[in-house]
Amino acid sequence: MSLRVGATLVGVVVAMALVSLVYTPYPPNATDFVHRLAPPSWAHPLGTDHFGRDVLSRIMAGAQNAIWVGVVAVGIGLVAGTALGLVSGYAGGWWDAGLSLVLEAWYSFPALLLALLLATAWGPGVTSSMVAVGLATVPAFYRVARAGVLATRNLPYVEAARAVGATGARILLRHVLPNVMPALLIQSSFAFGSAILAEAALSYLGLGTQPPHPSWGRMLREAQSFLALSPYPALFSGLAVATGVLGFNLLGDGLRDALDPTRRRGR
Amino acid sequence: MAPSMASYVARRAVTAAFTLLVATALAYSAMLLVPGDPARAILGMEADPQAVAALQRQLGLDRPPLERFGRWLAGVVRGDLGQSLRYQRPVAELVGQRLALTVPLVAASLAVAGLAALVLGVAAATRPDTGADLAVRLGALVGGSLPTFWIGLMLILLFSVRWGMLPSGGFSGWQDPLRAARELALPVATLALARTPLLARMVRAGLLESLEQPYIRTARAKGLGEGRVVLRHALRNALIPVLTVLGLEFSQLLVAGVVVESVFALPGLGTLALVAIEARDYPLVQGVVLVLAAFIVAVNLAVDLLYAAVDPRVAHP
Repeated sequence: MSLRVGATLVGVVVAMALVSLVYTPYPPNATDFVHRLAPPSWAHPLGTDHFGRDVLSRIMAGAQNAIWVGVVAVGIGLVAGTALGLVSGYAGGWWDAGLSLVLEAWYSFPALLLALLLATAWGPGVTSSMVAVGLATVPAFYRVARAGVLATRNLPYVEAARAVGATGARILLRHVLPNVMPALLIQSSFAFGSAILAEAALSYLGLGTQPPHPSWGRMLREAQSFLALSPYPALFSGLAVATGVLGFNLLGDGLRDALDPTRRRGR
Repeated sequence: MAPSMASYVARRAVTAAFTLLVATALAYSAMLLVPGDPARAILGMEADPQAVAALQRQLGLDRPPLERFGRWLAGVVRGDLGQSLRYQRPVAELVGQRLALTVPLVAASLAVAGLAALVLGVAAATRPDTGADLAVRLGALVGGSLPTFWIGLMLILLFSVRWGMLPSGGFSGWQDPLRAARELALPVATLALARTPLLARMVRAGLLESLEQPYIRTARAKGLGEGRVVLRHALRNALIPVLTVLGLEFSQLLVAGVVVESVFALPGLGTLALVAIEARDYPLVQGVVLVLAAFIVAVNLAVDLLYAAVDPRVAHP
């Protein structure tokens, strides 16, 4: 159930992003001062914003931004977190203790604070917000990968691989990693949802995507000043964020139920 | 204190201190990431070389990085977070003023969210598969996906723009408590609405689990009323896992508070950070980040210790 709904919502967002590459009803940045802050109509199904730009076109183009930020941020977290987790779990001893201590500390450092620091250092922009959100997801992937190694490192087939002389790197990549993949996939889906949410918040604060490039968070910031004149730009860009985040969260739930039969549902 | 409890406390305190050190290093290293010369980045390319040199001295840029970090850390330990470039006042003083708004805001939101979650969670768990139960389960799902600042905008739309009941932003100080309460009503409601659903789901799950335990059957068999069974016997154990997430909730609220302060134009730590970023006021950004991180570490430590006190299994595995 949640797998299907989640996949559908994610599909909608991905489809919007892909379609917007070749087609949007209007150019996302085209202004039309005659039809400013127009309510939904046949010409503009989601209305227009304070520059008369078509909200639907901007939400479609904003989906590109959301997916791109998610891919980069989750990519950073997945690669760095998994590598650290595998090494930590396999090496054990001081390495494991030290890395765990650092990553625990890292875990309690919220993405937003990293983003504030990076925005100060590099200037606000989509790069610093993507990197900040990505770095903040590293500890979650680290935990998943490390737990996976600890669960498999002493299983007979891993010992067999070691007995025939396989190197540590080969054991980790060929024998341990495939077993951790499902858990990493589930984690990626959740991380993707949080990345979209975090980027929207950063863009809302003016620290993420910069104008005039359409981003859902930025659209919400701009819509706030005109809330009394037209609620539609704020309403629909917020719903776009919620759709993306809910989609990836449900997809994660669904994948977990599908891939991990030991978990009980409904709790 | 039993020996294992003492060693648990010591272990947690060391971890907390280490976390704080990592946070300090992170906050500090932001300045090292500035491409080129921070002093020139602040003053601009056209700046007078003497002014640049003076600012470099003020920021300590004329010394090696490790020595700078050492000096900064020594200052932090003494409560000296440096001098704000924009306001030309001590960072600690500026941060302290803003905390007077941010901390009450977060605390009130946590209290409201906790209370609402308790009521909703108990209602959902004691009447499975009815309206309340479905509302909590659906609310947790959808509520966790809504951007906090969007909830704030929608509340402004309804309560300020449509009905004109509450102000849409701004804060005029604590001198007039009634006015302050009106001004903070929507921000608190925003944060509470954002965090209640997930907390309510936790209360529900914990309560459902503890209602299945044998001691509940015993309590019922003794002839206790259902209200007493749920509130006195089941809820107590159900709340232990909720207690552990309260620390995490607090940090989430602190971070969400940064955004919500911006939505409602409140003069708190979050809006201070945004002004500081705009002005490239590095010492101020570092100070804000460090204070927020210190709060998070302290609350997590307090919750861990409280948890160990409530649940003896933690310190005596």
